Amino acid sequence: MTAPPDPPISLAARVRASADALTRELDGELVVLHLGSEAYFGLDDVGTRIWHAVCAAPSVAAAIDELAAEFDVERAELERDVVALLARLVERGLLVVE
Amino acid sequence: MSDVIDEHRLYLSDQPRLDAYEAALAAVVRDGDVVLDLGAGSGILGLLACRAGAGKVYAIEETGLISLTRRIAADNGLAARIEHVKALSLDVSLPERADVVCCDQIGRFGFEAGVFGYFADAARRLAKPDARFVPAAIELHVAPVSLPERAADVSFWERPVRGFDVRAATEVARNSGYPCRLEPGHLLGPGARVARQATTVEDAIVGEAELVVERDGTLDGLGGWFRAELAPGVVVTNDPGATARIERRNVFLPIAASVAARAGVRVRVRLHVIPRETLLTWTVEVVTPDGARLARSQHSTFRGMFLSPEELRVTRPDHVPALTPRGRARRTVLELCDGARTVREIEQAVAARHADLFPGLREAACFVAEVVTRYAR
Repeated sequence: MTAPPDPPISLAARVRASADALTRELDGELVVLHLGSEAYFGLDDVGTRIWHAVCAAPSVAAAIDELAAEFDVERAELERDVVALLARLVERGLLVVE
Repeated sequence: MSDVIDEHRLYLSDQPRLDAYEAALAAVVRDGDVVLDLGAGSGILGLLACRAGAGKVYAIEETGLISLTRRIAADNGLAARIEHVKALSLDVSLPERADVVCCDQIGRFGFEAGVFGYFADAARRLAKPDARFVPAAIELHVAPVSLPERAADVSFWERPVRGFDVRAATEVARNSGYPCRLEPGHLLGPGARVARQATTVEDAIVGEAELVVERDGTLDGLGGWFRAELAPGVVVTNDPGATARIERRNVFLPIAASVAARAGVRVRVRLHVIPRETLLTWTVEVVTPDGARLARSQHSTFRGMFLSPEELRVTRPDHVPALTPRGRARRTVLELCDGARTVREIEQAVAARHADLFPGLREAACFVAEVVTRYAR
Protein backbone atom coordinates (compact mmCIF):
# COMPACT_ATOMS: atom_id res chain seq x y z
CA MET A 1 0.00 0.00 0.00
CA THR A 2 1.46 3.37 -0.97
CA ALA A 3 1.05 6.56 0.99
CA PRO A 4 -1.33 9.11 -0.53
CA PRO A 5 0.50 11.89 -2.38
CA ASP A 6 1.15 15.06 -0.46
CA PRO A 7 -1.27 17.86 -1.31
CA PRO A 8 0.21 20.24 -3.86
CA ILE A 9 1.61 23.53 -2.64
CA SER A 10 -1.20 26.06 -2.41
CA LEU A 11 -0.72 29.12 -4.57
CA ALA A 12 -1.96 31.24 -1.67
CA ALA A 13 0.70 29.87 0.67
CA ARG A 14 3.72 31.83 1.74
CA VAL A 15 6.98 29.95 1.50
CA ARG A 16 10.25 30.70 3.24
CA ALA A 17 13.64 29.12 3.66
CA SER A 18 13.87 26.64 6.50
CA ALA A 19 15.94 27.70 9.52
CA ASP A 20 17.91 24.49 8.87
CA ALA A 21 18.82 25.52 5.32
CA LEU A 22 22.05 27.43 4.82
CA THR A 23 22.57 28.96 1.42
CA ARG A 24 25.47 30.20 -0.63
CA GLU A 25 25.34 31.68 -4.07
CA LEU A 26 28.13 31.10 -6.57
CA ASP A 27 27.96 32.58 -10.03
CA GLY A 28 24.18 32.89 -9.78
CA GLU A 29 23.64 29.32 -8.62
CA LEU A 30 22.55 28.40 -5.13
CA VAL A 31 24.14 25.74 -2.95
CA VAL A 32 21.96 24.75 -0.02
CA LEU A 33 23.10 22.78 3.00
CA HIS A 34 20.41 21.20 5.14
CA LEU A 35 21.77 21.04 8.68
CA GLY A 36 19.44 18.24 9.72
CA SER A 37 20.17 15.79 6.92
CA GLU A 38 23.74 17.12 6.38
CA ALA A 39 23.02 16.97 2.63
CA TYR A 40 23.97 19.51 0.01
CA PHE A 41 21.68 20.58 -2.80
CA GLY A 42 22.39 22.62 -5.89
CA LEU A 43 19.98 24.83 -7.82
CA ASP A 44 20.73 26.02 -11.34
CA ASP A 45 20.21 29.66 -12.29
CA VAL A 46 16.48 29.24 -12.94
CA GLY A 47 15.94 27.28 -9.71
CA THR A 48 17.91 29.93 -7.85
CA ARG A 49 15.71 32.68 -9.29
CA ILE A 50 12.60 30.75 -8.25
CA TRP A 51 14.02 30.24 -4.72
CA HIS A 52 14.63 33.96 -4.29
CA ALA A 53 11.25 34.90 -5.76
CA VAL A 54 9.19 32.60 -3.57
CA CYS A 55 11.13 33.45 -0.42
CA ALA A 56 10.60 37.17 -0.99
CA ALA A 57 6.99 37.11 -2.19
CA PRO A 58 3.91 37.20 0.07
CA SER A 59 2.54 34.10 -1.71
CA VAL A 60 3.51 31.50 -4.26
CA ALA A 61 1.04 33.12 -6.69
CA ALA A 62 2.74 36.51 -6.29
CA ALA A 63 6.11 34.91 -6.98
CA ILE A 64 4.73 33.26 -10.11
CA ASP A 65 3.37 36.65 -11.27
CA GLU A 66 6.84 38.10 -10.88
CA LEU A 67 8.53 35.19 -12.63
CA ALA A 68 5.97 35.22 -15.49
CA ALA A 69 7.15 38.71 -16.36
CA GLU A 70 10.75 37.48 -16.60
CA PHE A 71 10.47 34.11 -18.36
CA ASP A 72 9.12 33.53 -21.84
CA VAL A 73 6.85 30.65 -20.90
CA GLU A 74 3.14 29.93 -20.66
CA ARG A 75 1.86 30.81 -17.22
CA ALA A 76 0.25 27.41 -16.70
CA GLU A 77 3.53 25.68 -17.49
CA LEU A 78 5.47 28.05 -15.23
CA GLU A 79 3.01 27.41 -12.42
CA ARG A 80 3.40 23.64 -12.81
CA ASP A 81 7.18 23.89 -12.83
CA VAL A 82 7.36 26.21 -9.83
CA VAL A 83 4.93 24.14 -7.76
CA ALA A 84 6.80 20.93 -8.67
CA LEU A 85 10.13 22.45 -7.64
CA LEU A 86 8.68 23.83 -4.42
CA ALA A 87 7.20 20.44 -3.56
CA ARG A 88 10.63 18.84 -3.90
CA LEU A 89 12.31 21.56 -1.84
CA VAL A 90 9.64 21.34 0.86
CA GLU A 91 9.92 17.54 0.91
CA ARG A 92 13.66 17.87 1.56
CA GLY A 93 13.07 20.38 4.34
CA LEU A 94 14.79 23.25 2.55
CA LEU A 95 11.65 25.38 2.29
CA VAL A 96 8.73 25.53 4.69
CA VAL A 97 5.15 26.51 3.93
CA GLU A 98 3.73 29.03 6.37
CA MET B 1 60.72 24.17 6.47
CA SER B 2 58.67 22.32 9.02
CA ASP B 3 57.24 23.38 12.32
CA VAL B 4 56.23 19.83 13.24
CA ILE B 5 59.09 19.30 15.68
CA ASP B 6 58.35 22.57 17.44
CA GLU B 7 54.66 21.74 17.62
CA HIS B 8 55.52 18.49 19.38
CA ARG B 9 57.97 20.23 21.68
CA LEU B 10 55.07 22.44 22.78
CA TYR B 11 52.82 19.41 23.33
CA LEU B 12 55.49 17.71 25.44
CA SER B 13 56.24 20.79 27.51
CA ASP B 14 52.57 21.41 28.33
CA GLN B 15 52.50 20.14 31.91
CA PRO B 16 48.71 20.40 32.56
CA ARG B 17 48.12 18.39 29.38
CA LEU B 18 50.64 15.70 30.36
CA ASP B 19 49.36 15.62 33.96
CA ALA B 20 45.80 15.07 32.79
CA TYR B 21 46.63 12.37 30.22
CA GLU B 22 48.93 10.55 32.63
CA ALA B 23 46.27 10.58 35.37
CA ALA B 24 43.56 9.49 32.93
CA LEU B 25 45.55 6.61 31.46
CA ALA B 26 46.58 5.49 34.95
CA ALA B 27 42.90 5.40 35.87
CA VAL B 28 41.63 3.75 32.71
CA VAL B 29 44.32 1.27 31.59
CA ARG B 30 44.38 -2.11 33.34
CA ASP B 31 47.30 -4.50 33.44
CA GLY B 32 47.72 -6.27 30.13
CA ASP B 33 45.28 -4.05 28.21
CA VAL B 34 45.54 -3.51 24.48
CA VAL B 35 45.68 0.25 23.88
CA LEU B 36 45.22 2.12 20.63
CA ASP B 37 46.90 5.53 20.30
CA LEU B 38 45.39 7.34 17.32
CA GLY B 39 47.45 10.10 15.72
CA ALA B 40 50.31 9.11 17.99
CA GLY B 41 52.65 12.01 17.16
CA SER B 42 55.68 11.69 19.41
CA GLY B 43 54.02 8.65 20.97
CA ILE B 44 53.68 10.07 24.46
CA LEU B 45 50.22 8.67 25.11
CA GLY B 46 51.40 5.18 24.21
CA LEU B 47 54.42 5.55 26.52
CA LEU B 48 52.14 6.67 29.35
CA ALA B 49 49.78 3.77 28.61
CA CYS B 50 52.71 1.35 28.96
CA ARG B 51 53.61 2.96 32.27
CA ALA B 52 49.98 2.45 33.32
CA GLY B 53 50.25 -1.29 32.60
CA ALA B 54 49.28 -1.74 28.95
CA GLY B 55 50.41 -5.09 27.57
CA LYS B 56 50.34 -3.90 23.99
CA VAL B 57 50.03 -0.49 22.36
CA TYR B 58 49.27 0.15 18.72
CA ALA B 59 50.64 3.60 17.92
CA ILE B 60 49.01 4.76 14.71
CA GLU B 61 50.53 7.74 12.97
CA GLU B 62 49.90 8.73 9.39
CA THR B 63 52.98 10.87 8.79
CA GLY B 64 56.71 10.23 8.60
CA LEU B 65 56.86 11.34 12.22
CA ILE B 66 56.36 7.65 13.01
CA SER B 67 60.09 7.04 12.61
CA LEU B 68 60.64 9.35 15.58
CA THR B 69 57.77 7.72 17.49
CA ARG B 70 59.32 4.32 16.94
CA ARG B 71 62.82 5.50 17.95
CA ILE B 72 61.55 7.10 21.15
CA ALA B 73 59.72 3.90 22.10
CA ALA B 74 62.86 1.83 21.45
CA ASP B 75 65.07 4.25 23.41
CA ASN B 76 62.79 3.73 26.38
CA GLY B 77 62.86 -0.04 26.18
CA LEU B 78 59.30 -0.29 24.88
CA ALA B 79 59.88 -1.47 21.32
CA ALA B 80 58.41 -4.87 22.09
CA ARG B 81 55.24 -3.50 23.65
CA ILE B 82 54.48 -0.74 21.16
CA GLU B 83 53.68 -1.64 17.58
CA HIS B 84 53.87 1.29 15.19
CA VAL B 85 51.51 1.49 12.24
CA LYS B 86 52.07 4.17 9.61
CA ALA B 87 48.55 4.89 8.42
CA LEU B 88 45.45 6.88 9.12
CA SER B 89 43.42 4.93 11.68
CA LEU B 90 40.45 4.94 9.29
CA ASP B 91 42.49 2.73 6.94
CA VAL B 92 43.89 0.38 9.59
CA SER B 93 42.92 -3.21 10.37
CA LEU B 94 44.37 -4.78 13.50
CA PRO B 95 44.73 -8.42 14.57
CA GLU B 96 43.02 -7.77 17.90
CA ARG B 97 40.54 -5.33 19.38
CA ALA B 98 41.55 -2.67 21.87
CA ASP B 99 40.51 -2.26 25.51
CA VAL B 100 41.41 1.42 25.52
CA VAL B 101 41.50 3.98 22.69
CA CYS B 102 43.18 7.31 23.26
CA CYS B 103 44.06 10.40 21.24
CA ASP B 104 44.44 14.15 21.42
CA GLN B 105 42.74 15.05 18.14
CA ILE B 106 40.59 17.62 19.93
CA GLY B 107 41.56 20.90 18.28
CA ARG B 108 40.86 24.29 19.80
CA PHE B 109 37.10 23.98 19.97
CA GLY B 110 36.74 20.29 20.69
CA PHE B 111 35.74 18.84 17.33
CA GLU B 112 37.76 20.20 14.44
CA ALA B 113 40.79 17.88 14.74
CA GLY B 114 38.59 14.87 14.06
CA VAL B 115 38.25 13.03 17.39
CA PHE B 116 34.57 12.20 16.85
CA GLY B 117 35.17 10.63 13.43
CA TYR B 118 38.26 8.69 14.49
CA PHE B 119 36.66 7.37 17.69
CA ALA B 120 33.34 6.48 16.05
CA ASP B 121 35.27 4.46 13.48
CA ALA B 122 37.48 2.86 16.15
CA ALA B 123 34.43 1.94 18.22
CA ARG B 124 32.93 0.16 15.21
CA ARG B 125 36.00 -1.68 13.93
CA LEU B 126 38.99 -1.59 16.25
CA ALA B 127 37.79 -1.62 19.86
CA LYS B 128 36.11 -4.15 22.11
CA PRO B 129 32.42 -3.49 22.82
CA ASP B 130 33.24 -2.37 26.38
CA ALA B 131 36.34 -0.38 25.43
CA ARG B 132 37.18 2.83 27.28
CA PHE B 133 37.86 5.97 25.27
CA VAL B 134 40.18 8.79 26.31
CA PRO B 135 38.64 11.36 26.04
CA ALA B 136 35.22 9.88 26.70
CA ALA B 137 33.22 13.05 26.15
CA ILE B 138 33.79 16.62 25.05
CA GLU B 139 31.97 19.79 26.00
CA LEU B 140 31.84 22.98 23.95
CA HIS B 141 31.78 26.22 25.93
CA VAL B 142 31.33 29.83 24.81
CA ALA B 143 31.41 33.24 26.45
CA PRO B 144 30.60 36.79 25.29
CA VAL B 145 33.90 38.49 24.51
CA SER B 146 35.36 41.89 23.76
CA LEU B 147 38.27 41.20 21.43
CA PRO B 148 38.82 44.29 19.28
CA GLU B 149 41.99 43.03 17.62
CA ARG B 150 40.23 39.91 16.30
CA ALA B 151 37.15 41.93 15.33
CA ALA B 152 39.51 44.18 13.35
CA ASP B 153 40.80 41.10 11.51
CA VAL B 154 37.23 40.42 10.39
CA SER B 155 36.47 44.01 9.34
CA PHE B 156 39.88 44.32 7.63
CA TRP B 157 38.28 43.28 4.33
CA GLU B 158 35.79 46.14 4.37
CA ARG B 159 38.49 48.71 3.56
CA PRO B 160 40.42 49.07 0.31
CA VAL B 161 43.95 47.70 0.06
CA ARG B 162 46.18 49.98 -2.03
CA GLY B 163 43.00 51.41 -3.51
CA PHE B 164 41.57 48.00 -4.46
CA ASP B 165 38.18 46.84 -3.27
CA VAL B 166 38.63 43.54 -1.35
CA ARG B 167 35.13 43.35 0.12
CA ALA B 168 34.50 40.13 -1.79
CA ALA B 169 36.23 38.41 1.14
CA THR B 170 33.86 39.87 3.73
CA GLU B 171 31.41 36.96 3.69
CA VAL B 172 34.17 34.42 4.21
CA ALA B 173 35.74 36.57 6.96
CA ARG B 174 32.45 36.87 8.89
CA ASN B 175 31.84 33.14 8.65
CA SER B 176 35.20 31.93 9.89
CA GLY B 177 36.45 31.05 13.34
CA TYR B 178 39.72 32.70 14.37
CA PRO B 179 42.41 31.24 16.61
CA CYS B 180 43.08 33.45 19.59
CA ARG B 181 44.32 33.22 23.13
CA LEU B 182 41.49 34.25 25.39
CA GLU B 183 42.31 35.84 28.71
CA PRO B 184 39.77 36.30 31.51
CA GLY B 185 39.81 40.05 30.80
CA HIS B 186 38.37 39.46 27.33
CA LEU B 187 35.20 37.94 28.76
CA LEU B 188 32.21 40.23 29.28
CA GLY B 189 30.47 37.55 31.28
CA PRO B 190 30.87 33.95 32.36
CA GLY B 191 31.05 31.17 29.83
CA ALA B 192 28.47 28.44 29.53
CA ARG B 193 28.40 24.92 28.24
CA VAL B 194 26.52 24.73 24.96
CA ALA B 195 26.87 21.04 24.23
CA ARG B 196 28.37 17.78 25.44
CA GLN B 197 28.84 14.69 23.34
CA ALA B 198 30.33 11.24 23.80
CA THR B 199 33.40 10.99 21.58
CA THR B 200 32.29 7.76 19.90
CA VAL B 201 29.24 9.51 18.45
CA GLU B 202 29.82 11.38 15.20
CA ASP B 203 26.31 12.83 14.98
CA ALA B 204 25.71 16.56 14.84
CA ILE B 205 26.46 18.40 18.06
CA VAL B 206 23.69 20.88 18.71
CA GLY B 207 23.12 23.07 21.72
CA GLU B 208 21.95 26.38 23.06
CA ALA B 209 22.96 28.65 25.90
CA GLU B 210 21.96 32.03 27.26
CA LEU B 211 24.97 34.09 28.30
CA VAL B 212 24.72 37.09 30.58
CA VAL B 213 26.91 40.15 30.12
CA GLU B 214 28.18 41.16 33.57
CA ARG B 215 30.22 44.23 32.70
CA ASP B 216 29.68 47.03 30.17
CA GLY B 217 31.75 46.64 27.03
CA THR B 218 31.79 46.11 23.32
CA LEU B 219 30.57 42.67 22.37
CA ASP B 220 32.65 41.55 19.40
CA GLY B 221 31.59 37.92 19.30
CA LEU B 222 31.95 34.65 21.14
CA GLY B 223 35.02 33.08 22.62
CA GLY B 224 35.02 29.29 22.46
CA TRP B 225 36.88 26.53 24.24
CA PHE B 226 36.55 22.83 24.99
CA ARG B 227 36.49 20.72 28.09
CA ALA B 228 37.39 17.10 27.41
CA GLU B 229 36.64 14.42 29.99
CA LEU B 230 39.60 12.04 29.74
CA ALA B 231 38.46 9.77 32.56
CA PRO B 232 36.01 10.17 35.45
CA GLY B 233 37.15 13.33 37.24
CA VAL B 234 40.06 14.01 34.85
CA VAL B 235 39.63 16.87 32.42
CA VAL B 236 41.75 18.77 29.90
CA THR B 237 40.59 22.20 28.91
CA ASN B 238 41.74 25.42 27.31
CA ASP B 239 39.19 27.32 29.41
CA PRO B 240 40.73 30.80 29.91
CA GLY B 241 39.62 30.75 33.54
CA ALA B 242 40.91 27.30 34.43
CA THR B 243 43.87 26.99 36.78
CA ALA B 244 45.14 23.91 34.91
CA ARG B 245 44.56 25.35 31.45
CA ILE B 246 46.49 23.62 28.70
CA GLU B 247 48.64 25.56 26.22
CA ARG B 248 46.22 25.59 23.35
CA ARG B 249 44.61 28.57 21.73
CA ASN B 250 40.88 29.21 21.73
CA VAL B 251 38.55 30.27 18.97
CA PHE B 252 36.90 33.62 18.28
CA LEU B 253 33.54 33.49 16.51
CA PRO B 254 32.58 36.91 15.16
CA ILE B 255 29.11 38.45 14.99
CA ALA B 256 27.85 40.63 12.15
CA ALA B 257 28.74 43.89 13.88
CA SER B 258 30.10 44.68 17.33
CA VAL B 259 27.45 45.73 19.85
CA ALA B 260 27.74 48.09 22.82
CA ALA B 261 26.51 45.80 25.58
CA ARG B 262 25.64 46.88 29.10
CA ALA B 263 25.63 44.61 32.11
CA GLY B 264 22.46 42.55 32.10
CA VAL B 265 22.31 42.08 28.34
CA ARG B 266 21.57 38.50 27.30
CA VAL B 267 23.40 36.74 24.51
CA ARG B 268 21.48 33.74 23.20
CA VAL B 269 23.67 31.29 21.36
CA ARG B 270 22.88 28.26 19.26
CA LEU B 271 25.65 26.05 17.93
CA HIS B 272 25.32 23.34 15.33
CA VAL B 273 28.42 21.31 14.60
CA ILE B 274 28.65 18.71 11.85
CA PRO B 275 31.81 16.87 12.92
CA ARG B 276 32.25 14.81 9.74
CA GLU B 277 32.26 18.01 7.67
CA THR B 278 34.20 20.04 10.28
CA LEU B 279 31.40 22.54 9.89
CA LEU B 280 30.25 24.95 12.58
CA THR B 281 27.16 27.17 12.49
CA TRP B 282 26.59 29.75 15.20
CA THR B 283 23.55 31.90 15.70
CA VAL B 284 23.79 34.80 18.11
CA GLU B 285 20.95 36.97 19.36
CA VAL B 286 21.64 39.90 21.67
CA VAL B 287 18.72 41.13 23.77
CA THR B 288 18.25 43.69 26.52
CA PRO B 289 17.15 42.50 29.98
CA ASP B 290 13.55 43.35 29.03
CA GLY B 291 13.77 41.29 25.86
CA ALA B 292 14.32 43.94 23.15
CA ARG B 293 16.53 42.60 20.37
CA LEU B 294 19.77 44.52 19.84
CA ALA B 295 21.27 42.27 17.21
CA ARG B 296 20.92 38.86 15.61
CA SER B 297 23.12 37.13 13.12
CA GLN B 298 23.80 33.65 11.89
CA HIS B 299 27.21 32.50 10.69
CA SER B 300 28.52 29.25 9.33
CA THR B 301 31.84 27.96 8.19
CA PHE B 302 29.78 26.64 5.25
CA ARG B 303 29.77 30.27 4.10
CA GLY B 304 33.40 30.64 5.11
CA MET B 305 34.65 27.91 2.80
CA PHE B 306 36.37 28.78 -0.44
CA LEU B 307 34.09 27.08 -2.95
CA SER B 308 34.53 27.49 -6.65
CA PRO B 309 31.88 26.97 -9.33
CA GLU B 310 34.37 24.66 -11.07
CA GLU B 311 34.49 22.34 -8.04
CA LEU B 312 30.73 22.38 -7.66
CA ARG B 313 30.21 21.58 -11.32
CA VAL B 314 32.20 18.34 -11.17
CA THR B 315 30.29 17.10 -8.11
CA ARG B 316 26.82 17.54 -9.57
CA PRO B 317 24.99 14.20 -9.71
CA ASP B 318 24.25 14.61 -13.42
CA HIS B 319 27.80 15.58 -14.36
CA VAL B 320 29.86 13.03 -16.31
CA PRO B 321 33.40 13.39 -14.99
CA ALA B 322 36.49 12.67 -17.06
CA LEU B 323 40.03 12.28 -15.70
CA THR B 324 42.53 15.08 -16.05
CA PRO B 325 46.04 14.23 -17.36
CA ARG B 326 47.26 14.02 -13.78
CA GLY B 327 44.28 11.82 -12.88
CA ARG B 328 45.18 9.48 -15.73
CA ALA B 329 48.77 9.35 -14.47
CA ARG B 330 47.54 8.47 -10.99
CA ARG B 331 45.34 5.74 -12.42
CA THR B 332 48.39 4.36 -14.23
CA VAL B 333 50.35 4.18 -10.98
CA LEU B 334 47.49 2.50 -9.14
CA GLU B 335 46.95 -0.06 -11.89
CA LEU B 336 50.65 -0.87 -12.01
CA CYS B 337 50.75 -1.52 -8.25
CA ASP B 338 49.69 -5.07 -9.05
CA GLY B 339 51.89 -6.92 -6.63
CA ALA B 340 54.33 -7.89 -9.39
CA ARG B 341 56.05 -4.71 -10.59
CA THR B 342 58.81 -2.86 -8.76
CA VAL B 343 58.68 0.86 -8.09
CA ARG B 344 61.45 1.36 -10.65
CA GLU B 345 59.37 -0.38 -13.31
CA ILE B 346 56.36 1.73 -12.39
CA GLU B 347 58.40 4.94 -12.57
CA GLN B 348 59.69 4.04 -16.01
CA ALA B 349 56.24 3.15 -17.27
CA VAL B 350 54.71 6.36 -15.91
CA ALA B 351 57.50 8.47 -17.42
CA ALA B 352 57.00 6.81 -20.81
CA ARG B 353 53.19 6.92 -20.86
CA HIS B 354 52.85 10.44 -19.47
CA ALA B 355 55.74 12.26 -21.10
CA ASP B 356 53.44 15.28 -21.48
CA LEU B 357 53.31 15.63 -17.67
CA PHE B 358 56.79 14.57 -16.62
CA PRO B 359 59.86 15.91 -18.42
CA GLY B 360 62.05 13.12 -17.07
CA LEU B 361 62.28 10.02 -14.91
CA ARG B 362 63.05 12.06 -11.80
CA GLU B 363 59.77 14.00 -12.00
CA ALA B 364 57.84 10.79 -12.66
CA ALA B 365 59.55 9.15 -9.68
CA CYS B 366 58.43 11.97 -7.36
CA PHE B 367 54.85 11.56 -8.56
CA VAL B 368 54.96 7.78 -8.14
CA ALA B 369 56.37 8.20 -4.63
CA GLU B 370 53.48 10.48 -3.67
CA VAL B 371 50.94 7.91 -4.85
CA VAL B 372 52.53 4.73 -3.53
CA THR B 373 53.27 6.14 -0.08
CA ARG B 374 49.61 6.99 0.22
CA TYR B 375 47.85 4.08 -1.42
CA ALA B 376 50.25 1.12 -1.50
CA ARG B 377 52.09 -1.11 0.94
